[in-house]
Amino acid sequence: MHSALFTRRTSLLALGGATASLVLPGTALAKPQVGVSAPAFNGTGSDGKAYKLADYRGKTVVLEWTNHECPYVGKHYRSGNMQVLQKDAAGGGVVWLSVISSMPDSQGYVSAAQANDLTKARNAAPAAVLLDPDGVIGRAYDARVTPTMAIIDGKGTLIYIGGIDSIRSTDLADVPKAAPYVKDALRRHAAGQPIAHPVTQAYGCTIKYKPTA
Amino acid sequence: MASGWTAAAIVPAVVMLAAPAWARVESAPVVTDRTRATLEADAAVPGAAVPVALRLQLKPGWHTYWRNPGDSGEPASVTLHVQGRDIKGPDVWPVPERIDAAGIISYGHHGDVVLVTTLQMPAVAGAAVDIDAEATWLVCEKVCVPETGRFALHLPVATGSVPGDTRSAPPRLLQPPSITTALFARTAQNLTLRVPTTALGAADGRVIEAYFFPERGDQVDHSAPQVMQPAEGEIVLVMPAAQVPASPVSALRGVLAITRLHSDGTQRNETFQLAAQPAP
Repeated sequence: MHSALFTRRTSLLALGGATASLVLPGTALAKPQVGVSAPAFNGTGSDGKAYKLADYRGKTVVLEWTNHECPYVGKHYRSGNMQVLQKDAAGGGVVWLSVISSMPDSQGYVSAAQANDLTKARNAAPAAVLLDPDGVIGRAYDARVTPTMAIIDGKGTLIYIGGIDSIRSTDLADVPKAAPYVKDALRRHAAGQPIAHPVTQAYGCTIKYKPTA
Repeated sequence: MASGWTAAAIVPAVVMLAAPAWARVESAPVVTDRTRATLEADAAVPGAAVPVALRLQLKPGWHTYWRNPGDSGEPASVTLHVQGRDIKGPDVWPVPERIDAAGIISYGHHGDVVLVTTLQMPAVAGAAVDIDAEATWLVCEKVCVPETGRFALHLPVATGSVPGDTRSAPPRLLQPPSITTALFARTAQNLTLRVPTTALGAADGRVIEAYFFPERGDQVDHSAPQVMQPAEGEIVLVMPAAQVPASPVSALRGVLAITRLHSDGTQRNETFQLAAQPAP
C-alpha cells in the first residue's frame, strides 16, 4: 500500500469534481521485462478495427504512447522527429502503433474521429492509433509517461522499452543533440545486432490513467 | 494519520498577489497565468556563498519539480551570468513532496517554491554585483506548461558591519539535518537502506513510517511502495530498484522523510539529508 507520507494526490478529471481514487491493486504496476514475451494486447484502432499483438508474428512492432497536448510529445511532433521515425519504420516493414491511454475527459483523450484528424493534421504515419481509455494496454506495459516507446520483435519478445531519446526537455533544439534510442534500436535490430540501450528512462507527462478501484 | 492530503477538487480563480520579497533585493517579476517568478538575493558578502533564489509563487493546485522529478516532469534549470562567469543551478532545493497521479509518482513542490543557486563571491568585490539570469521550469496541474524567464538583479555588496539578519540563512534555506552513517545494499530487485536510529536524533517515540527521495532518478522505482522492515536499533527501508540498468554509485544521496509516533500520541514528520555508503 502506498505510504501517504509527504504525498499530494492530484485529480485527473478536467472539470475537478471528486478526487480520483488512487489505490492500486495489491502490487505496483506490472513490470514487462526486456528479453521475455511482451504483454499481449487486444485493442481497438481509431479505424474501428481490432489490433492484437498475436497478429504480428514475424513483424517488428513499435508501441508509442502519445498525448497530443503534452509538451514532450509536442517536441517530437513539431520537430518532425516522430513522423520521420514512423515513416522510416513503415518503410522497413515495422508496424507502428500509437496508443492513447488517457481516460475520457482527460488531457490527450480523443474520439476516433479526432484521432484520425490529428494523424492527418500532424502528418503522422502510424499503422494505427489504438484507443485505450481504460488504460489496459498502458498498464500492461507499465507505461507511465508520454512519450513511452516499446519495441517487440517478430517472436513476440520485448526488445526495447523506455524513452524516445536521451534529453529530458520540451526544447525542440534538443532533438538533434540527443541520443536517439528508438532510432538506434530499430536500426540495430534490423541489422541483426544487439540493442545497445534496451531499457532507458522515459520522460514526459504522466499518462492520465483511469484510477484503478 | 501521516501527512498525506488531497488537492482541492475545484480551484477557484485566484488573483495572485505577491507575497513580500523573500530576500532584500528582488528582480522584476515574470508573471504567467500560473506563476509569479522572481530572482531574489540578500546583499552579496565578499568571499561568501551567496544564495540567489529563483522564487516561483505558484497558483494553488499547480506544482513544479524537485531535482529528481520522479517518474514524470523535469527539474527547473537556472543559469546566472555574473562578472563573466556562468553558474548553473539550482543547487539547493526544498524538501520534496510525493505527487501521486493514479499511482504514478513524481517529486515536486507546491505553493511558494524557492530554488537556490549558490553564487560564490570573490574575496574582493566592488560596490555592487549585476546578475543576469535565465531560467526554465515546468508547472503542472492536470496539464504541464513549460515556462521561462529572464531576470536581472543589481545586488549591493555588503561592506563593513552587516545587520544581523543577513548573517543568518533565510528560514527556507535551512537544510534538514544530515545523516552520514546510513548504509545501502543493492540486489537486482531492491535497494535496501539502513539508518541507525541514533542518527535520527534524540526525539522520543518510534518511527512508524519512512520514505526516501533519491537525488538521482536511475536508482529506485519512484512509483513502487517502499517497505519499512522491523529492526532493532535501525530503520530498514526496502525500495524496489529502477527498471533502467543500475548505475553504480559511490554514495546513495537524498532526503529521508519519517513519521514519528510520540509518547503523547501525536505524530510528527521529520526530514533528513542523507548520504548512504555501500554496505561492506
